[in-house]
Amino acid sequence: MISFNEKRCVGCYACQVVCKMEKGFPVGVFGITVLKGEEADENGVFRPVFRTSLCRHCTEAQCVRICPVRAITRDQHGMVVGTPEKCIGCRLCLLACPRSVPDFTGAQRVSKCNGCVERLQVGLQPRCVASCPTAALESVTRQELSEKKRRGYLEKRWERRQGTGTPSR
Amino acid sequence: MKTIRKKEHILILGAGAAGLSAADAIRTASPDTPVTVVSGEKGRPYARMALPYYISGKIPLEGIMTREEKELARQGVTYIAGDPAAGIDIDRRRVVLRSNRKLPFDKLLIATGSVPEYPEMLAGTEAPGVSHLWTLEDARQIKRLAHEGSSVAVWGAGFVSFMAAKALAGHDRKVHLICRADRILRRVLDAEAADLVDRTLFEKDVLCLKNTNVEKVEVLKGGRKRVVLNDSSELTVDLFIIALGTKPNIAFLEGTPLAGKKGIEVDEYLETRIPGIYAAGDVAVVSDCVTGERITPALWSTAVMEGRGAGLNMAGARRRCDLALLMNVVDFGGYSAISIGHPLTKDAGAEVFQFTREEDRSYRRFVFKEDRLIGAIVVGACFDAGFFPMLIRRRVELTRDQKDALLRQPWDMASLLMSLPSLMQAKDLV
Ligand SMILES: Cc1cc2nc3c(=O)[nH]c(=O)nc-3n(C[C@H](O)[C@H](O)[C@H](O)COP(=O)(O)OP(=O)(O)OC[C@H]3O[C@@H](n4cnc5c(N)ncnc54)[C@H](O)[C@@H]3O)c2cc1C
Ligand code: SF4
Ligand code: SF4
Repeated sequence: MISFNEKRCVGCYACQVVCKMEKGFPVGVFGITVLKGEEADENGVFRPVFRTSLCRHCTEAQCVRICPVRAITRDQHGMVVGTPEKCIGCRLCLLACPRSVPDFTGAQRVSKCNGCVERLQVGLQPRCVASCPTAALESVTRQELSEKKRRGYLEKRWERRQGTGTPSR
Repeated sequence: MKTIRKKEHILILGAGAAGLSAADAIRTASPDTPVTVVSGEKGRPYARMALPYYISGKIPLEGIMTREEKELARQGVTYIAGDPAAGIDIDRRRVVLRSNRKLPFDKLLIATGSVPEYPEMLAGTEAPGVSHLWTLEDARQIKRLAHEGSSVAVWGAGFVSFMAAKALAGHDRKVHLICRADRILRRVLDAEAADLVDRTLFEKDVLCLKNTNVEKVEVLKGGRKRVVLNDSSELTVDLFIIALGTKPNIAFLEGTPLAGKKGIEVDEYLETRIPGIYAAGDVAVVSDCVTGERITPALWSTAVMEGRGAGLNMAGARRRCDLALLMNVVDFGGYSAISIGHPLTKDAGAEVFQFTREEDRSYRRFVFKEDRLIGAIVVGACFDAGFFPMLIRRRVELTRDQKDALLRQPWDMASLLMSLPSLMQAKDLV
């Protein structure tokens, strides 16, 4: 699984570009998209923020459940992968996904992140992770991710209690 | 999750979206409960909504099959095909099949889907090439008769008629869509969106005859059909497809307290008024998640959600799963029209915003009620469409800034979502 730390992201788009190169996705299709926005910090000063729309390979993957023809399935490595040849292009997966992840080729076949299983198998990191200059993207196991989340939550709560807004790294 | 201790036998009527989702859910929650699934149709279970794509040749027959028989056996599911339920004996808790075989149950799920309406005036015109598009049998027949260059008339202007017309378009075929109303997909699209869809249909050689109805259909010698229209013009076609709407498939329940007017009434847990008997999918009357109205949505997405919920509840959970979100997608090779929630509400308190972009024929309609999005239509590029169902279903209350952001940047929800990161957290809807 891939975790994303928005506090580290500088919005360089390296992941988005190399993913496309790696997978050969057609025009308009991305495996990972960098989203740019702005938010007020604790002093009311706006600062740019970056987030990604990135497949979470969800444990309770809605896309897998809803696909009528099993064109999105979970593979033996736990990744949620699309099989374009089976896809009818009904877009139910897109509407069911909380991150609007599934994308479509010109022939209206599903095209999505497969977690770079082929790279993981030979001991490499997913292409986006390998390309990230600030380590905002990290390759983690499911367990590590939930630990990270728990820690993130506790840190936030601590900050709120202390009344400090220092971003933690 | 709680599981059932004593081995109760669960019987599922229907091997469609709802029935099989329920079987999967029961299996994960309670691996050793005996489960039997009955399908009214012969052969392996298949996905009804994939039939148009089988006809158009986008996927092979194998592609629409949802389960191997081996796989069902491995799951420990007993599968009975081609023997529909003909009646139910509620007191003795058993279902009688057409072959007179009797199946006892402790818990029962009714998920027999819908049946298409067959207008009385067509009595006597049963012939090859006069058909619904509902079962695999229908699809096979249509595929066989739809030659290069043949002519087709589709009667009806709802979702299934649209899918049929789209599947048959091309290959030099002439396709007529006979539409009683003044526009197609009247219940899900507004006039602007329907017009865009119409233009696209026209480019694909599908001609939409509006404000038109069928007066008479005759089968000519040689098998072609003469369709007489109410403006006294005529069409001579090879294929006449009837898609005038559907009703819940509950004829076999007649005379029992289960058969309601709209379908089978259920509570929040999808249990009927008879304990231990559940209903899910097209047969079940559920609540609209926006208006609270009791409806039968007749959608794949709701059937999967309800099937799963009913399955978990039958296996001992207690999960509310009767809230349905309306959601329709029509797509022509990348150009989609998506309708979610209640974009056509008559509610006087609703605020409507419309956006048009001529250069790529995009159109969006957002309908708000008191800072909550309650409906949306998205025509054209739709990579961000997945965010709308969440906004609507979760009844997210937008702040002024968020609403402004959405209306300022109607073509890309990303800007809005930047301020709502929690929305992108996984959810468990299905
Ligand atoms: C051509 C077409 C295109 C569609 N496209 C879409 C779409 O794009 N999006 C969408 O959301 N919805 C679509 N739908 C609707 C969708 O297919 C249905 O809403 C969905 O399949 C309903 O699921 P269900 O489980 O209730 O019933 P079904 O999937 O219809 O399954 C019913 C099952 O019950 C069995 N059965 C019937 N009678 C009996 C009996 N007496 N005893 C035992 N078993 C019985 C049948 O054999 C079948 O296995 C489409 C439908 C059609 C026909
Ligand atoms: S596509 Fe969406 S629903 Fe499916 S696993 Fe990825 S994030 Fe989850
Ligand atoms: S668009 Fe393709 S992958 Fe997505 S649900 Fe439909 S068939 Fe499955």
